[in-house]
Amino acid sequence: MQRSINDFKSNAAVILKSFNAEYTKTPLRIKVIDAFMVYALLTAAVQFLYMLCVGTFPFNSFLSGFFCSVGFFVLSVSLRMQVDPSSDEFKGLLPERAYADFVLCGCLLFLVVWNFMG
Amino acid sequence: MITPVFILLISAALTCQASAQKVLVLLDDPLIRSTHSLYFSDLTSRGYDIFFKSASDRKLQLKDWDEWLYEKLIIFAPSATDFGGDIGEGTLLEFVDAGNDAVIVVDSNPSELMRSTVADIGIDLEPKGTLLTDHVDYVRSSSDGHSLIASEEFVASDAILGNFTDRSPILFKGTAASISPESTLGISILGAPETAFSHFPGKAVIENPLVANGHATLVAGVQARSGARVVVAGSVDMFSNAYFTLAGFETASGNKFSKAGNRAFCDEVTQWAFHQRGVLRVTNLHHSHAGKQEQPEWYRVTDDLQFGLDIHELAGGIWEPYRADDVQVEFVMLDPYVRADLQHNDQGHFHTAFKVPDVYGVYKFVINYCKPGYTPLDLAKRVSVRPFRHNEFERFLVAAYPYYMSVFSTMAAFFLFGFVFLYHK
Repeated sequence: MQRSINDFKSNAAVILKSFNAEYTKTPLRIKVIDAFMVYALLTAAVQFLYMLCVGTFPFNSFLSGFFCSVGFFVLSVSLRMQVDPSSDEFKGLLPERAYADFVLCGCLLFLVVWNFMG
Repeated sequence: MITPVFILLISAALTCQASAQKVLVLLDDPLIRSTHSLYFSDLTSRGYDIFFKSASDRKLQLKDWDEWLYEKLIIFAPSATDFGGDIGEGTLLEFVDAGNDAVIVVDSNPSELMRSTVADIGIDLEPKGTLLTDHVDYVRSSSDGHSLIASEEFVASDAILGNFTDRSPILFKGTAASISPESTLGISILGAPETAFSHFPGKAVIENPLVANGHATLVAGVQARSGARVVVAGSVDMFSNAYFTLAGFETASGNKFSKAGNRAFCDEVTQWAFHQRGVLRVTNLHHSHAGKQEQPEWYRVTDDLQFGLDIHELAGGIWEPYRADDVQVEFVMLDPYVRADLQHNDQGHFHTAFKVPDVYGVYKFVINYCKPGYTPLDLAKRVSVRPFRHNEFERFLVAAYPYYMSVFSTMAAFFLFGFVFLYHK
């Protein structure tokens, strides 16, 4: 038993170490996107917990707040895929073009959220 | 603009005036006019015009074209096999259906005509030739068998019994009747004592009598849906001067009574039958938002509303405030969503307040008030209940602030992200 836990610990340490080593090679721009993604996820999680505690009563407000965070996360993921230099999928696409798409979709998302929020 | 439909069914309210109403009395035996003179003189002193006719009178006329010539009818004709004049089969029923009142008196040997007439009204008489008999508590002075009975089984209704307050026993000699348990219109005004039963006099009782154990009805009252009232009594003698003026009697169980209650009872029950008492009138039915006067056409779900109406009862020809704590209003959409007791202020105004249920649709205020001896009240008023409009919901609730904050912070993050992404290479 003790042994298996120790195995798990050492394995996890190895995985984290290799992840860390690989992640340091990631360009700064991608890291910034990751940071905002984590922020969006945390906001969504906090709102979900709040809903569980307080109840669903202003349900439209909950939905708009929650989906605003989730939508922002999803859009960030799309942007990250498009500007990631290690991926060949969107090779011909300029980062500025990708960002313009991101801004357009973001504005659309916020428009919907604002209309649904009150 | 949709006008609310307002249905009031108080057909009896029109018959409140006592001034010189015409009463037709049908007799099969002209002697009744003298042997029962006290009953008729009591009626005359109440202001009725009494017309005595023989039941078989060929010139008998109850109806002239479409107009009833008499408002009230009293029938003392137990043995009449056929009515004369224009009174054919069903005429009496038509008379009652038109909202006119009747008192029908039979005895132990009613003709088939009387039996079927009474049956049409919902009262089943015991078989021909039977007499209500009581071997336990008969009245001693009776000369023939044990069929003279003193009953104190009165209906518990002051509306019917009126000023007959001393509740002296009623002397009765005649046939019993029964009201079908399914009947919603008939009530037993005077029941039989527990020990009385209905049987052929002089014959041995070898099977269970049809009517016994206090289920027999001696005097029955019916309030027809037309508003008419009919009283059926099983004893002609009950209304006679002899019983009215009897100076004391003794029952087999040794109880002595100084007088019989027949005179007051017969008079009061006839007054009830003739709509002099127990008539309810509804006016001023009103509903509004709590604290307001104006009657709206619709309410919003969960609104507070107040409901009120005035109920008066007829007492001695005058409308007086009705006082009762058992009047209820229902707020009905197929099912009653709210059922509330109405409070009254001793001035005849009944009111209550309640919250509209959180279900929208078309509702009715329903008052269905049926109390023995009173005219039934059955009224409904329609009103719509609508949901919140889209701009009527509460906004910017404190509970929703975290969600608003998350939206603002996400937008700020979006803005900030633009700078970081575009200018930090």
